[in-house]
Formats: sequence, C-alpha cells, structure tokens
Amino acid sequence: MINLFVVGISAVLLGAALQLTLPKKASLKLNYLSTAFGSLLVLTSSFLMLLKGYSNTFSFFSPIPLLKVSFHFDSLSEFFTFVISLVALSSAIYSVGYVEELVEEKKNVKLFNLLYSFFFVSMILVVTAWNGFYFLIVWELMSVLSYMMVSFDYKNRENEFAGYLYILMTHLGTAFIVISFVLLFLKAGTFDFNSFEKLSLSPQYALIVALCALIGFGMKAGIVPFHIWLPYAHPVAPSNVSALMSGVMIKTAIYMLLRFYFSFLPNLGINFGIFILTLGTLSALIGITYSFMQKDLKRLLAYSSIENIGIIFMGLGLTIIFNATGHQTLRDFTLVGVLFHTVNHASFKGLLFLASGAVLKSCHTKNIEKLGGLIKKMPTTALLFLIGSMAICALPPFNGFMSEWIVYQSLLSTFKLNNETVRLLSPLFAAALAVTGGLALATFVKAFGISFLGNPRSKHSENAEEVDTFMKTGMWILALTCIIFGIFPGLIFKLTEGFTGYVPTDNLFHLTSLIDGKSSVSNAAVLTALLTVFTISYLLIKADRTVYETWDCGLNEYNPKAQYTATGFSQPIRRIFSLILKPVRRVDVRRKAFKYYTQQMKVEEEVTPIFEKYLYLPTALSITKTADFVRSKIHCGNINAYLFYIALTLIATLIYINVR
Amino acid sequence: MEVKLAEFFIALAVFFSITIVASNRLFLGIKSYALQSLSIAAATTLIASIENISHLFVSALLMLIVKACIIPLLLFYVTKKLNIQRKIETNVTIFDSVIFCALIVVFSYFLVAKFNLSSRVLGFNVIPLSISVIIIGLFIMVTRRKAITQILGFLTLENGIFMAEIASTHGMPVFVELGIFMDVLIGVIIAGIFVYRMSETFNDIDTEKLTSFKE
Amino acid sequence: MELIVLLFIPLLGMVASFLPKREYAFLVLSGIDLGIGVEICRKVLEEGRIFALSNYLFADSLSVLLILIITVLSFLAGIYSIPYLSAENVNEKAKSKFYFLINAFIFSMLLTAVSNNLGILWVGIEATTLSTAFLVSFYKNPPSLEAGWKYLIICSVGIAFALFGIVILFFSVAPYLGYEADVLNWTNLMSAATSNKININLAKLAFAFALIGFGTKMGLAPMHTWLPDAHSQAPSPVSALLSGVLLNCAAASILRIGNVLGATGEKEIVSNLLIFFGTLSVFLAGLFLLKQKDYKRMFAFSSMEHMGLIAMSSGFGGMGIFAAMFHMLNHAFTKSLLFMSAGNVLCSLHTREIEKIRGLFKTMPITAFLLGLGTLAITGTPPFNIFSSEFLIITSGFVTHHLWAVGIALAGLTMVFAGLGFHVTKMLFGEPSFEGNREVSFIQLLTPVILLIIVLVGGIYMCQPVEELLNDIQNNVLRFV
Repeated sequence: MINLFVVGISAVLLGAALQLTLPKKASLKLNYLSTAFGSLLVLTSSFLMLLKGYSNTFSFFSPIPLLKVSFHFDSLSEFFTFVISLVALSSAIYSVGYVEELVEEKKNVKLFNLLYSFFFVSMILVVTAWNGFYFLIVWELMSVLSYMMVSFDYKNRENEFAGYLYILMTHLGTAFIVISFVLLFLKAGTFDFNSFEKLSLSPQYALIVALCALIGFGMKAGIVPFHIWLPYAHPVAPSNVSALMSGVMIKTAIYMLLRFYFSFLPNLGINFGIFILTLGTLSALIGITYSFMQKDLKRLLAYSSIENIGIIFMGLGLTIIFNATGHQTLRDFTLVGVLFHTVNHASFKGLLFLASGAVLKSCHTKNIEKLGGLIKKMPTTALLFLIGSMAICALPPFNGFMSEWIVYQSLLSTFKLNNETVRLLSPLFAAALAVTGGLALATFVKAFGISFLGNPRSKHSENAEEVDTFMKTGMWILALTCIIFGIFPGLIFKLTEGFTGYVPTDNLFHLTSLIDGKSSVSNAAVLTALLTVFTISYLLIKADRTVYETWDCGLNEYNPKAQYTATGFSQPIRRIFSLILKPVRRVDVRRKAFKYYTQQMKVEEEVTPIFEKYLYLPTALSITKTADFVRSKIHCGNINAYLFYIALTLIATLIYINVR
Repeated sequence: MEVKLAEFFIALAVFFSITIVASNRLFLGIKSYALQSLSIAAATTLIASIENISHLFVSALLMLIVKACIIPLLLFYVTKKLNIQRKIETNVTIFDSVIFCALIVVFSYFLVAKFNLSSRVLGFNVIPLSISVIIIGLFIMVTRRKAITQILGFLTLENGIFMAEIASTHGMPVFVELGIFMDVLIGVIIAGIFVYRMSETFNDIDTEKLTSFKE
Repeated sequence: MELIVLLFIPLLGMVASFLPKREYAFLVLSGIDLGIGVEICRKVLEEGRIFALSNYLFADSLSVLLILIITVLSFLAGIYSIPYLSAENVNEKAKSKFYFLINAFIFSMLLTAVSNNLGILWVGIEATTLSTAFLVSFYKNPPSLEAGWKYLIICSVGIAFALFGIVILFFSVAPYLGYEADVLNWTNLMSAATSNKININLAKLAFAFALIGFGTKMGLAPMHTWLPDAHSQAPSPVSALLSGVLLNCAAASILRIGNVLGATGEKEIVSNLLIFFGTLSVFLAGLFLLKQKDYKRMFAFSSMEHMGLIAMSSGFGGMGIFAAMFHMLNHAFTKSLLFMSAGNVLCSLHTREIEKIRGLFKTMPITAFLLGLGTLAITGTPPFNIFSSEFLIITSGFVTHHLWAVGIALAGLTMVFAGLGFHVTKMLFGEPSFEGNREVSFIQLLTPVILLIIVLVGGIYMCQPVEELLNDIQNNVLRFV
C-alpha cells in the first residue's frame, strides 16, 4: 500500500519534471494526466490503508537541529490524503481542458503546471508530516505555491492585491502556529508529534496553545474574523486551483486542529468548546449572508466556503464539549460528522468551483448579472452545478444532507448535558444553523437560477459553449462522489472509524439518530421515494405541452433586462440584515429634457465588508501612520541627530551598566 | 612631583576640550585642539620618563607630530583653501554647551564612582576625565553643524581615548598604537577629501543641507 | 601559514588592480583565496584552532565561518562585478580604483576574521570603514557623497568607542597579566576571564563601549542610521559585501568581547543588552520597512533587521548561538542574492524608485523571479534557509523564557514581511512600466542564481562541516555568551 502511495507521488513529480521538456500543449496533457494518475494511486492506497487500519512512521534525520523529516500514516492523515487526492484527481483531469486557456493567453504554462503538481504534493506532505519543524516547512511551501498560483495572472491588479493579502494573512497565521508548536516543544523537548501526543498539560497552558493554534490555523481555514483573504484569493485563482484551495487546502487547517484538539490537547475544557461552537456559528451565518449578496459567482462560492468551515467548526466545538463532559459516544459520533462534512464540502465545493470555472471559460465572466440561460448552452455543466448546489444546500439525497444531519443531531443532543450554558445556547445555535441552511438554499437558488435559467443577459452568455470531455469527466467524478457519499454514508463511517472510534451499528445505507436511538435517516430511501414520485407523476400527468411567449407587460419588445437580477434577488435579505451588511446604494439616472421621463437608470447596491472596514483597515492604517511618524522622526536625515542617538544610547547603556 | 605634573597636563587636556566647545571661531577651535594634543604629548612624555617605558616616547613623539602639527595644519589648509566661513555654527548656544560639558564631567565621575579603579601611575582621575573628553568630543559632533567642526569633534574624542590609553595602561601595544595613528591620519585625510568634494558639489559644508535621505 | 597566505592574496590583488586585466586577476585571486579558505576550514575541523605569526593570527570555528562567508561572497561578487561595471560604463581609472578598494576591503575583513589580537581586530574594522568610504561614494553624485560622509563620520565615532572599550578591557586585565601585547589575545583574555584575573567592573564598562561601538558598525538600532544610506548608494556588488559580510564581522567582534565578559560570570548583562538592542532593531526595521521608496534602501533596512535577529539570538545563549551563527550564514547569502538582483534592476532600468517600476515579470523575467524568491527567502518563508534559522531563534527564545523579546521580534518580522512583500509585489506585478525585454546579461544572472540554489538547498539540508563548525561555535568558541 505504501509502495502504491510512493509510486503515486513519484508519478506526479516525474510528470511535472518531464513536461518541462515538451511543447506547451503536450506538456499540459502529460502533466495533468500524470497528476491524475498519481492522485488515483494515492487515492487507492489511502483508501486501502484506511480499510486495513495501516499505521506507520518513516523518519529521516536532518543535520539541522530539531528538524526531522518524518512521514506518518494513521487514520486521520490517511483520511485527509483520501480527501485531497479525490479532489486532486478530478481537478487534474478537468485541468487538461481548462488550462488550455492559459496557452492561448501565452502565459508560462509549464511553470503553472509545475506549481500545480507541487501544490498537490505539498498538501499531501502537510497531512503526513510528523514533526513540527518539518510540518511548518511544508505548510508554508503549500501556502507559497498556492500564492504563486493565485497571483499567476501578474498583470491583473485584483490578483496582485488578493495574492498579497493572502500571503500576508498566512504569514501572520504561521507566526501563531510557530508559537503553538514551540509552546508544546517547551514541555515535550522535541518537535515530534508523538512526543506531543504523550504530553499532559495543565488546563491553562493547554488553553493558550489551543488559542494560538486556533488563530494560526483559523487564518488558513478562513474562520470569521480571519476570513478576509479568502473572498479575494479564491475567486481570482484559476478555477482548478480554487477548487483545490477551497475544497481541500483550507481543510488541512481542520486536519491540524483535529490533531491539536484531540491528540495533543485532549483535555480542553467545555468553555473552549462553547467558544469554538460560537465562532463556528458566527462564521456560518456571516459567511452565508455575505455569500448571498455576491454578484461574482466565484466570490459567492468563496463566502460559502466560510459558511461550511463554520459548520465544521460547530461540529468541532460540539466534539470538544462532549469530550469534556465525557459523553464518549456522542463525541465519536460528532467527530464523524466533522470529518464527513469535511469530505463533503471538499467534493461539492470542488465541483462547484470547477463548474464555475467551466462557465468562466466559455463566458469569460464571473459576474452573475451577465449570465443567464446557460442551461440551454451548457446542459451538462448546468446539471453538474445543480448537483453541487443541491448537495451544498443539504438537500437529500446528496451528501451534504447527511453530514449536516449529524451536526443537527449533535446540537440537539446537548440537552443530555449537565451544563446550563450549553443547554441554554444550543437551541440558539440550532436556530442559527437552520437560518444558515435557509440562506444557503436561497444563495444557490440565486446562483443557479440567475446564471443558468432564463435568457442570456449579455453577449458573454449568448455565445457560451459546452466545455470539453476532460472538464466534464473531472466534474462528473466529484458529482458522483456527492451522490455516493449521500447514499452510502456508512462508507464514511467505515473510513473514519480508525480516528473517531465510532463503530456504527447501522449498515451502509442509513444512519440512526442518537437522540432516541430509533428514528433514522436514509438517503437511499429518500432517493427511491423521490424517483417513484417523479416517475408516477410523469406517467400520470402527461398533459399536452403548449408553448407560449413570455408575457412582456404588453410592451411588445421582450428584453432580457426585464429578468430578475441577482441584486434584486438578494435585496430583501439585505434589508433585513442591513445592520451588519450596511448596504450602499448607487443610483445613476440619466434623464432627457423632460424631467419625469427617465431615459436610463442604473442601480447598484453593494454591501460593506464590515470586518475589513471596521477592523482590518483601521488597524493597518494606524500601524502605517505610526510607522510613518516614527520613521520621519528618527530618520530625519540630519547627521547631528544621528550622532545624538549614539550619544544617548551610550549614556543610557553606561547608566544601565552602572546601576546593575 | 612629576606625577602631579602629568595629572596637571591631563586636566589641561580636559580644559582644552572645553575651550574647543567654547570657541566661536574655527581657528580658535583648531588651535585649542593643537594645544590639547600638545598637553597630552607632554603628559605622555612625563609618564614615559617616570616609568621609563621607551615606546611611550614614540607615542609622545607621534602625538606631537601627527596630532599637534600635521592634523591642525591640514585643517587650517582645508579651511583656507575652501574659504570656509570662520564662524562656528551651533545647535546649542555656547553658554549652554559649556554648562553641558560641566555636567558631562560630573556624569563621568558618577559613572566610575563605584568601580574602585587604580592605575599604575596616575590617580583615580584619569578614567573619568578621559570619558568626559570622549563624551565632550561626541557633544561637539552632535551640536556643531559644519563638516569640519565635526572632524574636530571626532579628533577630540580620539584624544580622549589616547589619554585613557597612556594613563591607564601606558599605551596600547606598539603595533596597535601605530595602527591607530595610521588609521586616524588616513581617516582625517579621507574626511578632508570628502569635505573638499562636498564643498565642490554642494557649495557648502553645512551638514544641515545633507538631509536627502529621509525614509 | 595558510592564514598569512590568505591575508597576502588580497594585498596582491591591490597591486594587481593597476594591471590592465584587473577584473580577471581579481577573479583568479579571490578564487585562490576561496580555496585557501576551504583548506583552513578543513584544517580547523581536523586540528582545532590554528595559529600563525606568533599567535597574533588564529583561526577557530567562528573565524572559519567568517572566512568562508567572506571568500565565497567576494568570489561571487568578483564574477558579478565584471558585467556590472561594464554595463555601468565605468572607465578604466575608476575600475582600477574600484578593484584597489575592494581588495583593501576584503583584506581588512579577513584581518578582522583571523586576528587573535583585539588591537589588530580594531585596526581591521577601522580599515573596512576607510576602504569602503570611497566605494560608497563611488559614483561621486550628491546622494552618494552624502551617504559616504555619514558613513565615515558615524562609523568612525562608533569604532572610536569600540577602541575605548578595548583600551578599558586591556586595563581590566593588565594589572594581573602585565602590559604586553599578548594580553589582548583572545586566548589570553579568555583564560584571564575564566580564572578571574580581571577587573569585572571595568570589563563591563568595556563591553558597553564595545557594544555601542561595534554595534554602530553592525547596524543595531538606534546606531543604524548610516546603514541604509551607505548600503543603498554603493555599487551593487559592494552593497552585497557590505550587507552580507561586513556586518557579520562586527557582530562577531561584539560576541567575542561579550564572551570574555560572560566568562567572568556576568552573562546576564551581555545577554540583556544584546537582546534589548536586537529586539529594538528588528522592531524598528519592521516599522521603517512599511513604507519605502528606494528598493536598495529597503533591502538595507532588512539587513538591520537580520542583524537585530542575530544579536537577539546570541543574547539567548546556548542553542541561540547556533541559531545566530546559522542565521549569519543564511543572511549573508540571501542578502547578496537580493542586492545582486536589485543591482540587475538598477543596471537595466536606471531607477531606484519602487514607484517607477511595475511589471518586472514581463520586463526582466529571470531577475524578477530572483527578486521575488529572494524576498520570500529573506522574510523567512520556507523552504528557504532563513526560515530554519529564524525558527531556531524563536525556539531558543522560548526555551530561555524571553517571551517578550520573541513576541516583539515576531511583530517586527510580520511588519517586515508586510513591507517587503508590498513593495516587491508592486515592482514585480502589474502592467510593465518599461517596454520590451530588458533582461541583463547571462553572467549577471548566473551569480544570483548560484546564490538562490545555495539558499534553497540550505533550507532543508546542512552539510556536515557547517554543522560541526556551528556546533563548535556554540559549545566552545562562544559558550559564555
């Protein structure tokens, strides 16, 4: 199995190296097909490892002190390897068709290919790293590689800014990760993860470590309020990269948090759990609210990633709570939910990003307001996007439903706990999750409805064409996983058994609620029921079809502009949440001579990103202002002043020496 | 008696450093510097003869030649050649400067008060006095605006160090001493060339104008 | 013997600078010097310390580290200078001056590295200032003159303080050991310090003066003010040597004197002062870097930051020393890489202003990559070597419970990243502000590429001699800091 894994990784690297020697078009095929092949091997090997419960560590010493290059395979890292290679497989196949665009734009395709393959490998290295120092190296390598791809289109100002913000936030996060590792090192004496696992820390110390890890990895995961880079970086990256970034890269942060909170620091208190739960709920709510407001298809998806990370964090918080109160079964069950939602989000968010990439490739715009009617031009993409949307909205029979159901179950199970706070808050959280679900539904009705239904709103969507087979195949793989994981949730339970310790009593098809132990849910049943209902109704209601023209208010000139707009669609919610969204409306009216006759009117409404405007921007501004002040005072250019500093320093030092 | 005399010359050197501070004309400053070097050379000779250390005589001679003659003449030459305005421009008034110098001397004594020093020949005073000359030199560099007065300040500082050397340890090892003299001489020559080039380029040697780097 | 040859070769180079083929002569001589440096390294690793010239010259592992940095970088600077000077249209007379001074510069740095005697060390350091003053103002334009003047004056003052420190140090041991020149040998000073034959109060005073003095030369805040001016105005190969090599020589001198004081049991003063000035430098450099106009100046500020890190890390002691020395090595190579790439930009586009340069990826693709990767490297991004040393520095800070210092330094590092990243991004990205492909010649790219490879490999691999050297420095040479 491990050999299969090594062969897979080497295939990716070899392909990436060999493609450098080929002409552009061929290099592309070689690179992505070898990446696909390699990730398939890695996928298979991690799947087998998970089934067999394989666990092993490989260490290579380095002369640099404290650094040990060591790889570790256990159920958690294998599970994440599985998730990463799954998305990478489909994204690589998709890329064969997608990256051709770069060839046409005369970009340095080979470099891009290289970065892409290395990025995949670096993610695998991150989840198999077993030494803190080495982990940081591959962790930052992963960030840098993704940064390079985010800002690959270097002439574009948007990419420049997004890349800068991303790498800066990541760097800031890394500082906190370093602190958390070093704090563990102080007690353990080495950076090896297995020595971290053996630690028993005092609660306060553990809490500090946990907070540092939360900030550090939270930056990467995109949890509110550290999320600001995400809505910039994910949309501007090429879509195959956004799929990897949004689908799996941010999950590597979840991976490390799971390690921290359940392996290194297993004794975190209930209050920390509540904190994480609250943070998750906030992320989910804020993420989806902003997502609903977006006009840019990919930015909408990026905000929705924040929401889903929020849901994962809710599960994480609940797990910590159950862990602290000693409810072993509930803890294990919720942990499965966390991992389940992780893999689910990877598959449907990957799918959605790939589908939006397909739209972008054939329409050359991400702006929903300019799309429309794509279902006729790109039927397969539309179907795939629909599957992804339904999955992300947690509609049965898709996978999103299953994982969110588990989170709901866990939330509602908190009434069993003895803690008043949790019992008091959990209905609130459940309600918030419900609101999130509702908004998610609205968001994707908007995303799908406005872009794919109706009539084309611009030339962009009028000239759209269906994408090629490679891209379709890539997307189908993820769409199928959405369905498979939905219908066979037991599969995920089986795969996560090693880490969570939860042994399901159910079979592959249905899950039983832990609240009463009786009621259960089965997507297969839902699917059967739905299919039956549809078939019957199709057979019964075979009414004649009559085609009418759309009613155009009697104006006799049908105009696609009369359709519902994305901005209009989200307007009610913008009103309701105007307190936090702070919408800004710009109205531009052009009138003819006669005052009451408007010739043209343009209304734009945007929401204010409050965290940027009221938290990050003022902080950054005050820092730069202080810096300006200090610099202009100190570096005044006058040599007398410079000598004066030396004199002062000398005297101060002499006094210090004398006083000591 | 000779020890007392040597101490007197050291004290005189401190006095001359204050005259440099107090002088409002460039020539006066350079002359004070020459006199300071002379008194240090005298002290060196005295110590050399008391202790009968031959290499200290060499140091005294070098001091006399390099610091009391060559360098002052060089400075005179540059001043005349470049038509430098003779008035010394200061950031702090001369009266305040002298007060500061007094404070510096007090501070130097405070600094070494608990150090329990003893040198071979001279009494307790030498280290604090040389520290005060050094800091006074720095003070000149901080408060005087012309490039040439800054060189003067630096030279005063250097003299302070030399004072400490001869008084505390009877000079540094010979080759080090030679190296130091070489370095000082070359340094002054290079600084002179700089002053020359600057006056060509900027038409002035006021350091206030050299403030183009502000970031 | 090797040591004498090592010092003799740059002197030969000074003479050779009057020959017509001076650039190749320099290349050959610095290549030979590099070979001798490697030989010394081998010998020191095998036999321990080696001495020459009746013990006035010696080489221990710290000197070997410096020798390696000096010789490797001067050789690379030699390669880089050939196309650089011809691209800058420097005339023969100026070229001759350039090579004369650069040889003098290398000689004086080597002298500081191998001198066993504090007096010689001082002469060497002062000689570096004098030899580079004209290199800084090589172009003779007003800004370079101004920078040169400030460099000369501020550093001379600093070095004078260092001399005073040395005098006092001499005074502190002379009553016990006598007034011979040998007393100022490191070896004797160390044995005096460990056997308590030293006036501790005076030694403290000496350390204070030496710290301020050599600290000025090293670029510790707030004595750093000359550094950005001088490093940005000098020709790029010289900037590379100034930033990459010279600062380290000053740092090593401080650490050696600190080691003497530390050996008397006054470790705490040494480490407190080093940590204070180090942290201050890192933080201030971070603040300054947030807004810069001149890219060479920006990299000079980054040198100040790294010197701060070295001082801070040395103050932590123990593993901190290892980390500091490792960082010294890493910084030397990375900063030279950056100055050479910046030199390529300056050479080809003739502007120092960040504002005026956009879209370097288009205008000078390879240089842009070097600049971008170099910036990632210098800001401590893995897998480049500076990350490893910075990580070790942070770890050793935590181990010795200097949480505040590490916290402030981390804040500084983040600001450095923000500032450098922002400005370099501006230069590399966007619509190109210069037309056409303005890439420089192959040799001008070769040197930074070699450096980049070293920097990259150094991130995860450390060859054994280096490891032995660094361990020896930590456990023997500077064990009292």
